[in-house]
Amino acid sequence: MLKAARNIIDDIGGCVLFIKDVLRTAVRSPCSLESLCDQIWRVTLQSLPTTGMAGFFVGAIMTVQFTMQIKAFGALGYLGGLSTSATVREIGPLLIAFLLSGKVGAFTSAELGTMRVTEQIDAIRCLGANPLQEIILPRYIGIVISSFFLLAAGLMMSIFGGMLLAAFFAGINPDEYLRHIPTIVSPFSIGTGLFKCLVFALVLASVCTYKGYTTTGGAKGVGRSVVSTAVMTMVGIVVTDWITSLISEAALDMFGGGAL
Amino acid sequence: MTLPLFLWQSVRATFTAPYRWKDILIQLEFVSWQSLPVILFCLCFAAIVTIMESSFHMKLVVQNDALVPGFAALLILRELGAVVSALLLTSRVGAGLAAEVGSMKVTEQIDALRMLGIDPVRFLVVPRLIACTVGGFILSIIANLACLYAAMVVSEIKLGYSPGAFITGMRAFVDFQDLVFASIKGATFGAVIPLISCYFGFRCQSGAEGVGSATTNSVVASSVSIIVLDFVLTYIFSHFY
Amino acid sequence: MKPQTKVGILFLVAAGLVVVFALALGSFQPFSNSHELKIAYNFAGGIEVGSPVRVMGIKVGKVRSIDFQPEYKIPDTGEEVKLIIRVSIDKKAWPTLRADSRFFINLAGVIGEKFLEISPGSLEQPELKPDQVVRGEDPPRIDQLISQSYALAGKVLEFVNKNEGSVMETIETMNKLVTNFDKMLKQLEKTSRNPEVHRIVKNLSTIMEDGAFFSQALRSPEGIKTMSLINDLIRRLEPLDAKAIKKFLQEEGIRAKLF
Repeated sequence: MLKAARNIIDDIGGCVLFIKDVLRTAVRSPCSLESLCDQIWRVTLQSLPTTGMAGFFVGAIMTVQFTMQIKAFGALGYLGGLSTSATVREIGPLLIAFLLSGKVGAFTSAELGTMRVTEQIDAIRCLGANPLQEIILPRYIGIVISSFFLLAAGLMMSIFGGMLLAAFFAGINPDEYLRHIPTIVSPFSIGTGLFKCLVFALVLASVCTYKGYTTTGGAKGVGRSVVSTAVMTMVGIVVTDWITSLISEAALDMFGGGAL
Repeated sequence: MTLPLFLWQSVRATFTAPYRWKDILIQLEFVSWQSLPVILFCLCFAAIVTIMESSFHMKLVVQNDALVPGFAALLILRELGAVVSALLLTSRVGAGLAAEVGSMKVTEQIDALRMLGIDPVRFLVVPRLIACTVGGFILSIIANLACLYAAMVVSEIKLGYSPGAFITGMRAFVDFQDLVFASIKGATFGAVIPLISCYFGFRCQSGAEGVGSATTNSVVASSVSIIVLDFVLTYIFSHFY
Repeated sequence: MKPQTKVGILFLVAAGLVVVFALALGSFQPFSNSHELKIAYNFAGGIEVGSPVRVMGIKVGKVRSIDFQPEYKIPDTGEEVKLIIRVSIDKKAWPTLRADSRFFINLAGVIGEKFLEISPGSLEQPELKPDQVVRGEDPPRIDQLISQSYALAGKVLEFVNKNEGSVMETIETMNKLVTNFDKMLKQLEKTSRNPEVHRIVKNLSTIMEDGAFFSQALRSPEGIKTMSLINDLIRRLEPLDAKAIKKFLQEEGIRAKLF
């Protein structure tokens, strides 16, 4: 038990030091824009269908759940606003980020881990290039940007999924569903959701590049680092979810209830 | 091996003797006991966030937070508890399984099993399938109720509801069948994870790259199928409330 | 620790948690502490299985089941009642239920939760027996009430629309009337303070009293007889000397009135 706790603390410390290295590299010797764009393009294109599908189903699930509850109140008019608000602010970012941690995070960690165990990273160092600059930095920034974009796209799809299910399941036509969204969902809510997306993207990028970069020990090691990437990312996402909720609550208090 | 064939073989082997009880037990211990801390940790945070968010929405719509306990308990039992614990199980158990089976495939241990006349599906998949189904069932019960307990504590600290008030508020919304449906969801998700992971593990290409991509693909495929299945189950259960 | 132990612990914890959850929800009561009662309704206003039952506002039980019984008749009155609601009631609250208790269906709370309210009976009535069938008070059909009040409101609106002119006229006239009455009252108040007027009014009232007394006497059967006799006499005497008699009668009449 004590050993497990120490491992976790070691992981966190190593991750923070790794991020420090990456950021220092970013300031001192930034990577080429070309490789960054290539990375963004690849990650986005690769994960867009999965994310869109996940977003669609998350929105659909929330609509079905809310329909059952709201029917008891006879307030189906609120359905569009409530299910969209719950999805955009909380459930959507959380579940889609979980999915991305499997898709983007595990993929990157497997890729970097394979590079590490097949000694490609050492080869780059031997050629006199900085692996942090050439390999990690474009991936890190690329994952942050494209994950943010993917999460936002997933949220858009969740609104679409919710709308479709409202039409099929609750019998609310799309126009009415969309018309009620602005009554509950304020710019502040959307801002909270996007802020969460950004924080999750940062967590995801940090964990997967760190875990992939520090892989040791052959094919089994790659598998192990993929597993621990996924678990660590999810735990990190849940914890930062709580922290961002606290921050958004504090921001709401600071700027008054009128902003809502 | 195609997916339908693989599924058919696994299911047939699951419902026919002999069973490797010892292996099932060890897998069950791995799935449920070793995943419990991380699942409980994550769900406690999820409970805090759920309480905060539902009080935000309640204040927005009905101007007070009297219904928060009921709504939060409902959200936890019907959605969050089962899905979050299943997704965590996917990344922990599913990815681990894919990596393990993939490594065995790469190092030709599976071919060795075939040479010895042992059916790899019966030897590898069935114990994990049974263990994950039972483990998912138990874990979903424990995780849901621990999450509810956490929500109760949080709502006492943050919103000032006593445990009695929380339970009374919960009673108005939550039925015993919610827990039954949640555990059915947990068992279903638990069954999906080893099937998909082992399938990707069996199809693993050679080399470290192959193991990595098999693991990644299995995590993605199981997460997506869990979310899709969650939608299907929610839709089916919505006719029973 | 052996894996067997760990798995066993998990199973036990899960089973224990399920029992705790069921107890907390009240969907499972091993130590039954309640009696059951069947309440018959023709309309039950949306009550559901699990709705609370209250006596004097305190929750004492819940609705166990709702059965449709098309052939059921109340034994005493023979009334056809097709809905039987089975409720469980705490033993503590049981003695307050008497034969004259009444069973209402009520609505409470933010979300309009339905509950069954039981009024306590009076002490001299006998206690209810467990599993007895009693007749409940059908709640008012809110939907019917609303549709009726809509119809009424519609009629009023129609009337006003049709007779807008005359209604306005009536109101104006009434306004004027009230103003005049007010003026009169004010004058009366002013005049009643004047002593002279006061005396006149007093005299007037005395005269009125006298007049009343006289007219009462006149209206009595004897007076009527006398009058008819005098009338006959006059008719007979008329041809002779109408003028003189008339004059005499008039003078006599006046004198008779005065004394």
